[in-house]
Amino acid sequence: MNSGKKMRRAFAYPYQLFRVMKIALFLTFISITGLYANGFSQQVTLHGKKQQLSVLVKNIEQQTDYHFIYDKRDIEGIDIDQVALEGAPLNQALEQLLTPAGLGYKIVDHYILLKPLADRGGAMNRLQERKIEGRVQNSAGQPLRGAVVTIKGTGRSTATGADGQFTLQMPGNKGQLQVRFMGYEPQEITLSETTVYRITLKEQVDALDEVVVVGYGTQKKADLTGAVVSLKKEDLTQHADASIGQMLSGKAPGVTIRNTNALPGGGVEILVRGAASTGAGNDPLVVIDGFPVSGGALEPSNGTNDYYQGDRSPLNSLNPDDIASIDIMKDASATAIYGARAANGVIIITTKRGKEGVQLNYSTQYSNQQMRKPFQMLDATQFMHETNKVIRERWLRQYSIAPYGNVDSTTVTSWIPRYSEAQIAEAGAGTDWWDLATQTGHIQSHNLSLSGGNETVKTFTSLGYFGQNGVLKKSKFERFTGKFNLDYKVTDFLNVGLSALATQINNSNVQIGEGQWQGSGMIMSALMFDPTLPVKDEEGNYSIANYYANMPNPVSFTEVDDHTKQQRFLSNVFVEVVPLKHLKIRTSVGIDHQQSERKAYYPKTFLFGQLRNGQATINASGKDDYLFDLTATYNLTHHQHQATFMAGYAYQQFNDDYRGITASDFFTDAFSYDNLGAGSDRPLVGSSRGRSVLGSYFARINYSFNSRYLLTLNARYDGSDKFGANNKWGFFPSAALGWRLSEESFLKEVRQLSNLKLRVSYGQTGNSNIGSNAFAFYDVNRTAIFNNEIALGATPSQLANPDLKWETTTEANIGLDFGFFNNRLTGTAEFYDKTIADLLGYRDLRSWMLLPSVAANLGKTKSTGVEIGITAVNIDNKNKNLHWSTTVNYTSYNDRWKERSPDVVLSPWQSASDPIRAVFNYITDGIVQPGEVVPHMPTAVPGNIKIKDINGFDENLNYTGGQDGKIDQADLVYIGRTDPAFTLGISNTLKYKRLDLTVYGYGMFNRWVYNQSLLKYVGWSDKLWEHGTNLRVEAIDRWSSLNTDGKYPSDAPNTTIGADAWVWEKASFFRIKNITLGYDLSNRFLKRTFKTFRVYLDVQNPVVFTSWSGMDPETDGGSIAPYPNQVSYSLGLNLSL
Amino acid sequence: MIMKVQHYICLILLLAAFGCEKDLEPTVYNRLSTVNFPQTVADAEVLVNGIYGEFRGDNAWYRYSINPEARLMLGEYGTEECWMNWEWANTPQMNFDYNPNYDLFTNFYGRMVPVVTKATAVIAQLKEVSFDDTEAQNRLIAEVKACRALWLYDLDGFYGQPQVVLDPEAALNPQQLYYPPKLSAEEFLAFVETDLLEAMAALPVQASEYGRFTKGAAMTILLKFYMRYHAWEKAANLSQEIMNLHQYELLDDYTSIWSINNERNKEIIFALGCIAENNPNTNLMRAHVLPADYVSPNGAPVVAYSGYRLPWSVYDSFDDADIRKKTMVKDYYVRSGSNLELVDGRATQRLINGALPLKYDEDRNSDGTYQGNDLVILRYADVLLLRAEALNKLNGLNQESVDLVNEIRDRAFLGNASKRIQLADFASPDAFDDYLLQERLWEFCFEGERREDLIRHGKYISYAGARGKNAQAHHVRYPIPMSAVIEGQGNIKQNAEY
Repeated sequence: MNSGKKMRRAFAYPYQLFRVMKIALFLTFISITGLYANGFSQQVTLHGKKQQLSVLVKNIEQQTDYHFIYDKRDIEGIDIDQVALEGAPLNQALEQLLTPAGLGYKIVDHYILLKPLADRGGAMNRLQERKIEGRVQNSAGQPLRGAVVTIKGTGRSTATGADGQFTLQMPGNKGQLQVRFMGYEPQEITLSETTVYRITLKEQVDALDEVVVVGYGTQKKADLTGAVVSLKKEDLTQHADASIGQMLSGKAPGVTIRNTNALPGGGVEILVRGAASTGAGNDPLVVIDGFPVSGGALEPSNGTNDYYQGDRSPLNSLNPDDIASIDIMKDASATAIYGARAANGVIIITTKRGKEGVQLNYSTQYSNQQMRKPFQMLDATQFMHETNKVIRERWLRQYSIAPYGNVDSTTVTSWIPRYSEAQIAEAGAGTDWWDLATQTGHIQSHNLSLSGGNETVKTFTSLGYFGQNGVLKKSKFERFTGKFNLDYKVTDFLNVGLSALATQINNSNVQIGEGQWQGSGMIMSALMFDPTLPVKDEEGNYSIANYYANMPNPVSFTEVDDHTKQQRFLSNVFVEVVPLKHLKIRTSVGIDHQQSERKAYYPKTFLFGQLRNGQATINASGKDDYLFDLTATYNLTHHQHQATFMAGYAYQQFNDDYRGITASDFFTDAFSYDNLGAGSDRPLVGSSRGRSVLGSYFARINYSFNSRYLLTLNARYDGSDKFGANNKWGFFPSAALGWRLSEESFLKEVRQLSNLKLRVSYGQTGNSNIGSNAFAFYDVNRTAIFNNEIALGATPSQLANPDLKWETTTEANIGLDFGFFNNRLTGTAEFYDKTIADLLGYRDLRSWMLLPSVAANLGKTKSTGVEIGITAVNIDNKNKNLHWSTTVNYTSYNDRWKERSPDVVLSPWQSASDPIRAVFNYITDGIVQPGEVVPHMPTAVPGNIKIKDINGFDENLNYTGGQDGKIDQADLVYIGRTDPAFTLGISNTLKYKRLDLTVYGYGMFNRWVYNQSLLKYVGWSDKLWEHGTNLRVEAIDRWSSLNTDGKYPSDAPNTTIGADAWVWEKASFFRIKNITLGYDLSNRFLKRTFKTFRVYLDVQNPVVFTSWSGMDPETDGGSIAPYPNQVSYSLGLNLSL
Repeated sequence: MIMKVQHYICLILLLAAFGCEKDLEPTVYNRLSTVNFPQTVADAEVLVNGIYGEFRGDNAWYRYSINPEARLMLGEYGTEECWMNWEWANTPQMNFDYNPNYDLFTNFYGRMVPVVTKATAVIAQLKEVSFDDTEAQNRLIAEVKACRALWLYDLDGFYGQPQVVLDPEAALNPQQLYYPPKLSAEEFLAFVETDLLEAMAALPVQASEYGRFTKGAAMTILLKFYMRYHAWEKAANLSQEIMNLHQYELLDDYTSIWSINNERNKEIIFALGCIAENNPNTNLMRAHVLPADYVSPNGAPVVAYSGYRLPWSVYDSFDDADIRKKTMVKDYYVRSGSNLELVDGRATQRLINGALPLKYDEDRNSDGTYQGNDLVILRYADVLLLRAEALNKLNGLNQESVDLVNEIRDRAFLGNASKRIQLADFASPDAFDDYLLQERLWEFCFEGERREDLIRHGKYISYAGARGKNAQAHHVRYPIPMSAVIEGQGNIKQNAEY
């Protein structure tokens, strides 16, 4: 590693100039013709003996609105013997302090510039001088006043005026112009013969100065005491995904994200710090522009349990392009302000807001998606051949012919192959159903946004379109979004604003569910359909398998009309009043209105529709959440003490409703779902409605002393109608301490260290996600038939538990933020330990009782974890314009039981402290061979998988400690967890001049998954005969009397418990998610027109490293036919004016 | 002035803030709260409907249904009648591999045991609802008792005297820890006898609505209990009482007993109503039986799981002139190009393992899966043959028993007198008893009665042994689920030898 040398050089960078409160910014001292500020009326009070000048300077900054700018070396080591100023005017105080120290000052705007009185620079030769002039502006085109413009190596400087204009006398023709302005990245320009320059400075983002959105307010990152991951727009580039969910994978330490299916807009599982809640869900709370939204995506059903459209991400309604930042609160200190809903972490999404000036952005992208065949299925020839083999093997077994017995095969009816040799010979490859069911996917997106405003009114408006045709035929996702954010400063004391989002999503659903038999989805059908069949039979009907008429033809799925229209209107209005100088009162009122309507028609050309003579359904779900909140924030600064007090109240009401109709028996398919009255079968109707309410009081104190010692206290008191009379209210406090070690004098001298902060927090949060389960209900959920009519019946459906209360998470967190070598190496490490007590769930009643369970608080779980995020700037060569940085994120968590509810009867193989998602499995022991007798498996036949007899039970279910000659649960062994041992995300960014390259990947390691697809498409080889359904080519290598060293068990059924033990597999993987190559053309030939003009190429999911033998180690969460991830190639353009 | 405005705004904001949540009482719109349910007579009726609904539960599969885990097939396993093309289900039952972890045998237990508890609770609740008409109240209670008795009959038959909640106190306090006692055979029979006698007293001879329990249905359940427990005298008396109701008779056409067009016929004592919809109350028999290449000559939709077969050896035991053989189908239509062709399934090896047990005929309104034919649970022929059996046990060979059998045979052979049996044909009561077992096979083939019959005659194990199966004495009980044994913590005992 050669970076050590580079880092030393970086550290030895000569301009160790330093500003106290704000941005680390280099500034040479200059003579200014600028205006003297009119701030001399500001008064300063300073007392004390023998104080460092640097401390006094900070003190003045805290007392006034001014900030100092100086060369650190100029004031280092200067002590002031005695100060005694009481309400002295600023200029008087400055003179008294600085003059004896040999320093002078000038005031420009709100800055006080310090410099030694003696001019250290030499006189310059005055040669061939010429005047250059120009304008300095920000990226929004607004003039920057007070920017410092220097001709390098000459000491000639000036500051820009109110209109951003500057003029300088320049010696000679060649040179470099340096432009610096606080909060912006310095820029160097090679001077040419041109005399007029327009210079646009880019806003600088300093890690410590970033503002992080915390609940009900913001905080500087430097002042944070909680475990928070803050992601900016740049971290979240979206490519071939509809929502930001997928793009968070591996980006934030402590956040585990898994694609649950990859269909357009497909679902993601987001876990913040594991999943230690066992019954109340582990979904984090999502807050969009201050509105805590509830629940998942609204997906009404299609009127049949058989066909499922796949889960979709609830974040789909947001246009990723509108997002400015995502802040993820992880520990109790950060989340406790959201109290009862915060136990699983909080994800705060903030959208872009208007800025002064006008900026127009447009981005577009086109992608092409290729679906890789997940695995090879038998072609027609192989299929026929293997089917005959299965029939022969069955025949051998049925008549107990060798190797299954010793019956002479000539004494029994001989077997008849299903396919003759002649048929096999001419079969060829047959129909490739996979090919017929899939297509090349396309994605097109367009985003147009306009940010504009002045000091009083600022707006952000955007329109977005995202359209995707999936790789399965007929799968389609289309989204239209409109976003409008307004900030209006009505008077000095009154601000109002609005965040509004309107979204419409049109989905074309394909059936990809996990159903079997007649409920098989399109993917399963395309994999399993008989390759010897044509698409349509002689009469033009879709062919149906001869031996299994219950699986729809894969191509016939395209005849189904099934559409979901999702609409969302999310709006939040705020009013902010400043009645006193440091007091801010803010209230907001919001509504989250969602409507989702599913319309489906199953025509007679599709098996399901054929059986019902056409079936049409219209189902609609609605959701209306209302929010009211009020907060008061008070800022207090006194000497080195700085404190913010916040208190507030929030009320939220959640409403949902559902209604649906289904009709069938249509004389024609022509109406689709648009004329339900034409169905002659009695329509089925249904509706439902629900409501719940949450009221909360909360308070927070942020205190810092001398910017070094930080304290945060949080408390929230939540009341919910979900809980029993005895426990409606819950209290959730937290406390956190932060210590900025790098600000301490004993570490300030360690030049390698740029930042070091230690954080410790402890607190409680809650989880109330259990529905209205504290109360007893009867449901009308049974039917009997009397006189051939349906008679409705009611049965008890839920038992009451008036003592039901919040699940409470108590969490301790230790975090360390660090930066070395001038922040070239930065990172955060977090360690947490949380205990979830009063777990919400269902206490199992004895199975012979009235109902199987009752909602209850049960036992405790414990989760510990480590999260590390490191970013290294490997190369930062400004001269060569080369920049390379690497970010690595590591997350691991361990969720275990800590204490079980006393009435839980543990199975003998379980222990009280098992991992929550423990996998107990039987141990396989090869395959039964001819003549082999397996005493503990009396019904085993050759070809069955063998299970090891390890242990036994006595009659009281105690382990006997040795083999007992049979296979039962005593032989179960703990093998691991379904949780990943750790997840890893690695991102590399390389920039060379205007070229940028990003390579980003993530992975999950050491997690066990039940490989359903191995069982179904390899293990169930008897289905070749029974159903005539297809198998993977691997199934050829199954055991048979002709292939006794086969790898997989034979088609013979194995009724021994645990016969499927062999399909548990480790699903570790590392996926290269994106490789993006971009080039910004704006400075080449378009600079007069565009501020940016970046074109890029992206390839998504090009490679997955895994040993998993299913379809996709990520989406195969134990499912049979998930929609796997695809490879996408994208071409995109971002431009701004 | 300005200061006033901003303070005014603040005041409004603060006032608006507090107490929005009020008393946090839950609002429930579409569920019934126990606060006000059940109270009225209408509530009580809906509650009783719910108990009837438990025959089928919340879906058409399991419980009193047709799939391999359900009531009908559990009455067939291990018998000569039963063949399933699904090896996963056929192999364990053929080999008497009755594993306590195998859902095939234990699913019914897991579903029906808590349903018994529900009935116990509802009986207690009905007593608390105030009726103007106590007769109606007693009738509803009796209906629930009859439901429960039928479930207990089947649980007992499959798993031995079941450990179920019959104590109302325990049923109404589901959260307490309660282990139902293991009743002895005598105690168990005494309980159901008392219960059914009470029910019989309150039930009408004719149901107000078809599908509800009647006096005759309750009597028939008790008759079957008496037969199981060899209470021959009680059985003989009770069967006479059933006949004396004059509500039931043998239907002239055997094959139409299960016909969609002939529901509510006089032979049916109790049936579970079915409709041709995706509703729990539907008939899945044909879908489970039909072979995949089966085509309806009427053009009706066909769903074909190709599961159940009557082995050819049993098929061949039928007399060719026996009308009952027609319900076991060998010849059926398949597609041949664009025409239909009638094929002999046996000769063409389309039906390798046996004939198609197709007592339920085609419902043309069905989508193929869900048929409307009512599921026949109790029928009069059974009462006659059980009476014949009881009298033989009680009195030895007797003419009345022979006459009862001949009623059945006359129908089967369309009155052909040469097919009647004669008292002289039988050397001993045992020989007649054995003959009755054979006659019952022909009469009740694939109706889920065979296992019970064989066990009652003590032939279940020996017949299996004669077929070369490794059946052992303990196989007359299925195992109870391992999970119940674990939960029971020593209080729920597994059936012996499992």
